[in-house]
Amino acid sequence: MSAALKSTVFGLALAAAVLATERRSPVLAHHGGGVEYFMDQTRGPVTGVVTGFAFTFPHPYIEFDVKDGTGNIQKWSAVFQPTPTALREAGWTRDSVKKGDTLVVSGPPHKTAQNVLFARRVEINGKLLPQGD
Amino acid sequence: MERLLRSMACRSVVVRKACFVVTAAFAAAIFADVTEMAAPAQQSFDPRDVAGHWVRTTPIVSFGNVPSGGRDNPTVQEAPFTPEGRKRYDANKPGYGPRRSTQRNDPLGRCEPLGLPRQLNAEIVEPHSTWQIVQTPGRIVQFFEYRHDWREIWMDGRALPASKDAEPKWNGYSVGRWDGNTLVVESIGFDDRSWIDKFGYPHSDEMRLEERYRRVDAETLELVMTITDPVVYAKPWSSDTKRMKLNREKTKRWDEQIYCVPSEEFPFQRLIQSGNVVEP
Repeated sequence: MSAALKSTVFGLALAAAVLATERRSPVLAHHGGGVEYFMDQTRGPVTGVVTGFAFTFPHPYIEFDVKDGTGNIQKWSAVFQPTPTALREAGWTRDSVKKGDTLVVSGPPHKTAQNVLFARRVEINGKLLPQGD
Repeated sequence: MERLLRSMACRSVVVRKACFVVTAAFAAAIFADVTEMAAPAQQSFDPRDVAGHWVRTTPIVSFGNVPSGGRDNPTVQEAPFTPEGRKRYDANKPGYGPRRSTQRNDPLGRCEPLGLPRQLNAEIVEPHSTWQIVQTPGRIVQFFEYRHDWREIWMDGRALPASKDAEPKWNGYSVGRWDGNTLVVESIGFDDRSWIDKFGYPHSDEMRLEERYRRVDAETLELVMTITDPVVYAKPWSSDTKRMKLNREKTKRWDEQIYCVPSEEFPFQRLIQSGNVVEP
């Protein structure tokens, strides 16, 4: 077996072993956002300026201002599925998002609350943030 | 491995290498499973020792066997409601399970205590929460990281208070005893404002709760709960078997201190328009 093939085998075996452990992860049993969000839809990417970051239980959220077509400021929020614990394990801190940061976010829209998104993809100052779930 | 490859549809030389890679990967995965399953049997344990950090491995979010999603044609062991019980159940509007709704009145969203047995049916799950049992000769204490709550089970042989003397409390009054290697905990005196799980099943202040714990191996604790509550349920109602796995790693980490903080929870509930927040 070539060295390249060996390393591919090792890599795949490792990935499979990780999957074998991960598939039982109770995190997957955590509730989905289907009750509040249209999970089959995506809104965005929406670009705005961060005005607040609540890194708190049960679910962290970012508040941000978005300029609409007429130049007026609209208040928006993006809510995370993971808890602060899960986000911390993915490397987040409460300083990961700061007032004045430029945010680009996309995700399923809330069913009733205007300008509220389920944060699926979040970029802060051009850098993609990892999700904790 | 060679025989395994032949037994699969890996006869073409071209796909042989790819098949080898996939088979090796699956073999590694199976090996990982087997070693993990074999480990508990090799360790000795005291069946009357229930101390440690425990994490659920079964879907314990509901008291009964109601699936959490409610979308997969669930086969549900329905609760044996009395007419009064059905009325109370219908009045509870949960955010989870088959009856989940955007307009809810879950005590959880108002920072009210979860109470028992809901704590046992709640977030005793990684990563954000676990459940710790501390055992002393006269008392067992259970710590619930989610909502940073705790309850005590008296093991000193005392009797439960008479029902008329048991002022309703969120976690009730609990005494325990050993029946062989099964820990049997009896509780009365519950505040009827709590739900028994996040799906909105109710109870009255006449609820009597029995918990039966069994340590089946070094890594596994099993729990079956039975509720006797003549106001809400026409006959005693038992949960399915809940299983918890010992988390040795957790003892080395900081606790999360997950309090319910009204100044954080209420703005969140308002943001998602849950209907949970009721102004005092």
